[in-house]
Amino acid sequence: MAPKLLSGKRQKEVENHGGDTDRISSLPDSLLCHILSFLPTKTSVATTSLVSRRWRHLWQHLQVFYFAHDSDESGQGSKMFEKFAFFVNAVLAFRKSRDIRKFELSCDIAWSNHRCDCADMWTRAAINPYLEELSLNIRDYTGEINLLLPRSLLNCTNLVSLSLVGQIKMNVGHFGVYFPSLKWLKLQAEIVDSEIVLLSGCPVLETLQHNFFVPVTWAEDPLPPSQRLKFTDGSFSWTFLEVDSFGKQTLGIIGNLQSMVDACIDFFPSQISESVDPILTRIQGSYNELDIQLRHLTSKCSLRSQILNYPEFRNLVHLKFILPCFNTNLLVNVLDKCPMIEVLIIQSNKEEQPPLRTWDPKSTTVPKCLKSRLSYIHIEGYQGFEDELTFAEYILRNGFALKTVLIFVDTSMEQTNKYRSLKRLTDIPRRSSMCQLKFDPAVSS
Amino acid sequence: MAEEVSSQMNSLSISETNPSSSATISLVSGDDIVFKVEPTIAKEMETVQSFIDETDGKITTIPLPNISSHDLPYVIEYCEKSIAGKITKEFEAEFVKKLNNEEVKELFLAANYLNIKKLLDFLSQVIADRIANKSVEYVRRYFGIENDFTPEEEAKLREELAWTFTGVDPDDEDEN
Repeated sequence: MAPKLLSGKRQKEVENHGGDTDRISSLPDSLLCHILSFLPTKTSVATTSLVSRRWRHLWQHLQVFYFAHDSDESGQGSKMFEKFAFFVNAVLAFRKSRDIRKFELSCDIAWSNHRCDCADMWTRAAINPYLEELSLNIRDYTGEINLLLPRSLLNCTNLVSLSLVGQIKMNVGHFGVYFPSLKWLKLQAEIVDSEIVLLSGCPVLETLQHNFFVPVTWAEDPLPPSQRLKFTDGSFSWTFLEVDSFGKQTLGIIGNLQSMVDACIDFFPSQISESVDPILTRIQGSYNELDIQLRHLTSKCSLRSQILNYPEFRNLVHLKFILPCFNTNLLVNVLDKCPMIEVLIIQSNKEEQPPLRTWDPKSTTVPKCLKSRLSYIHIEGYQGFEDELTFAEYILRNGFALKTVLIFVDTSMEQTNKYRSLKRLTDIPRRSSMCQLKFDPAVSS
Repeated sequence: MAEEVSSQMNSLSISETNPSSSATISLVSGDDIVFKVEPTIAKEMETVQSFIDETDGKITTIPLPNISSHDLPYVIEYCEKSIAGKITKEFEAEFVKKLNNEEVKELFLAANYLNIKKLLDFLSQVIADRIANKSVEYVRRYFGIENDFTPEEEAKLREELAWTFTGVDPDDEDEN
C-alpha cells in the first residue's frame, strides 16, 4: 500500500477563493469550535450563531468560556448586571458539553441583587476534573463582599493556569492542596489564607505573578506591583522565608531559583519597623545574571531566630551578602544552601549591634561549597568581634579550595585589636595550601 | 512497478539506524516546489513526522499536496522559531502583520493538515481577533459562508438573541 500522502497530488488553486470557502466549510465542527473558543463567549453566542444553520448550535459544544461584565456602564449597573447574569446562566444551562476546560469570569458583584451568589454558582459550574485554566476577577465596589472559592476547586488536578484577582478568598490552610499540573499562577495579595500551603502544593509551577504587600512608606523606591518569576528549569522547589510579627505570619517567596548563578542579597533593615513583609524587590536580567535584593524589615528579630530558612541556590556561584551586622549563624546557613558558590562577598554595616557570640563551629558539618568550590572570600567592615574572627578562622581551617581571603577592616578598629585578629588568623592552619590571606589590604599593601 | 516492490521490501527489513536522524527532509508543496528542512522541523509537523516514522525513516521526500509554495515558508519559519524557543509576542505580531485574511485562513488549514498545535492555536487566535465584535454579515464574508436562513428565520433568531446584543464595530473594508 502506498501511503496516503503519496496519492492524489492535487494542484491547489490559490487564486480560487471559492475553493478556499469550500475548504473552510469542510472543516469538522470541532475545528470551527476551536476557533470559537478564542472568541469572547458573547460573540460566539450572539454573532457566529447567526452565520448559518450549521453555525447555529456550534457554541453549545464550547468547552472554553470568557465572560466579562463591565461595571462602569453609566447609571444602569444593576440592570446591566442582571442582563449579564441572565446571559451567563443561559449559556451555562444550554451548553451541550459538560466539561469546561477554560473559564474566565470578570465582573463586579456589587451590582448583583444576591451579591456573590451568582459568581459562586458560576465558579461551581466551571469546576470539574477537566478544568485546565481558571481566571477570576471579582470586583465589589462597595468592598464588603468576598467570593469564597468552593473547596471543590482543590480537586481540579488538571489545572494548568490559575489567576485570582479581586474580592476573592481561598482557604487552603486546613484542607491541604495539591495542583500537580499547575504551571502558571497569578495571585493578588491576601486572597489565600496560607500561601505556603498553596505554593508547596504546586510542584511544577513555572511562573508566579504575585502582588506582594507593599509598604506605602517606601515612596522613594516604589516597588513594581507585581513580580514575575520565570524559570526555565523544570525541577522545582519552593523555599520560604518566614517572619513572625504581630502574631501574623507572612512570607517572602523565593523559590525555584536553581538556575541562577549570580545574586545579591541585601539584608538591610528598613526604617519602617512596623512593616512586615520580606519582599523580593527586584528580579532582573537574563537567566544567568540575576540580581536579587531581599528586603527584610524585621531583621532584628529574624536575625536571631532559628526559623530563617534560606532558599537553596543550587547554581549560585557569586554571592554578595549585605548585612546590618555580622552574623555567623546566618552566613553559615547561607553557605549550606549554596553548594556551588565560588565567590562570597560579605559586607557588614554597623547599623545594628552585633549579637554576642552566637556560634560555635562544628567541624563535622562543613558546607559543601567550602569543601570544593569556594575560592574567594571578601569581608568588608570587619570590626574584630569574636563572631567575625571565629567565622574567618572557620573558613581558613575548612576551605579546601580557598585562594584568596580579603578582610577589609572597619576604620573604627583599634590597632591593638587589629594585631590580635591578624595574629590569630595567621596562626590558623590553612586547609588550602594556595590560600592567601590579606588582612586590611587597603593599609598593608 | 518493480521499483515499488523493492522499496516495499526495504521497508519490511529491520533497520538498525534511523537514516532520517541526520538527513534533511524534503517537503514538496502542492505546486511541486521542494523545501529542504532539518529533521527537527519535521518533528514539529506531526503529520510529516508520523509519515517518516511509518516508513522507518526510509522516505525523506514528503509531498504535501494541500499546501502551496506560498504558504509553506511561513509554516517553516514558525516551526523554526518554535524550536528555538523564540516565539514571542513581538514575533507573532510581526508574523501576522504580513498576512492578509486569505493567507491566515490558508495557514490555518495548513497547520491543521500538518497537525502543528501551537501554530493552529495561534492562528485560531488571529482569526478570532479579526472577527471579534464584527457583524454577522462580516463573519459570513470572512469565512465565505452562504446564509442559508430565510429572512424570516433570521429576523426571528435575531429577536431571540436581542438580549445579548450591544452593538458591533463597523465592518472594515475587506483586505483582499
